Amino acid sequence: MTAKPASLISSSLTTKALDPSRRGSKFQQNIDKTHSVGAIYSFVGLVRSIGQQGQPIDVLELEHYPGMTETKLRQIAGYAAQNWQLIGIDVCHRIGPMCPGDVIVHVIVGASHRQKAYEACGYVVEQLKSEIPLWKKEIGNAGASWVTP
Amino acid sequence: MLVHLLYFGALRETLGVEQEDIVIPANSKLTDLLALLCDRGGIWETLQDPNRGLRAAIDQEFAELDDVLKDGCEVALFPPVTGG
Repeated sequence: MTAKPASLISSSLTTKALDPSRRGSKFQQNIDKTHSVGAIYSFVGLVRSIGQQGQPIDVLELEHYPGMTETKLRQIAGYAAQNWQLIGIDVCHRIGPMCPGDVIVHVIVGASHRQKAYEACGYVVEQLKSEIPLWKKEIGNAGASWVTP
Repeated sequence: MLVHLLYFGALRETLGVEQEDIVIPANSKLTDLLALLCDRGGIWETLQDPNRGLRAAIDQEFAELDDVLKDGCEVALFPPVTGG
C-alpha cells in the first residue's frame, strides 16, 4: 500500500468557528488534482440547543487533554486513511466554549469510491464518540452539567 | 517513585483537584494507585465505583488497571469521553 502524503491526512483541534462549506471546497481542491477521487463524504456535527436532560442550553464547553487528544485524533485519521485507502481525510474538532448552531466537528474523507468514503467517515465519527479524550459540559439557565455517554 | 496525576472533566470538578504529584511504591500498578487515592476517604472512594466508568491514561495512552507505572510517568484519570 502506498503511504499517503502527510498533507492529505489532516487532523486538528480549534477554538475558532468551523465553516464546512469553505473547508469542503478547499479539501476537494487539494485532493482531486489528479481527478482520481470518486467520492467525498463529510459529517458535520452541530451543537444543539437542547441538553441531554431536555434542558435549554446557552453554551456547550468542550474540555480536552492537551497532547493526548491531538495524538488520538491523528491516529484515528491515519488508521482510517490506511484501512480504507483514502485519498484524503480531514478531521477538525472544536474545543472550548461554543453556542447552539455552531459546528462542533467536521469530518471529510475522499476516496476512489463511495463505499470506502462513507465507511471511513462513519468509523471516524464513532471513534470520536468513544476514543478521543473530550468531555462536554452543558451550561444554561438551569445550571451546568457534564454530558454522559 | 513520583507520579504526576491529572484529572479531567466531571472527575476534576468532583474531586476539586486539577493535578498533583504523588509518591507511590516502586512497581505499583494503576490499580494500586487508585487504591491509595481511595484511602483518602470521602469523595475519593468513588474512584473505585465501577458505575463511574473511570478511564485512565499513562503517558497519554489509554491504560488498564494491571498496567505498571514508571517513575516520573503522567497518569490521567477521567470519566467516559463524550466527544463528537
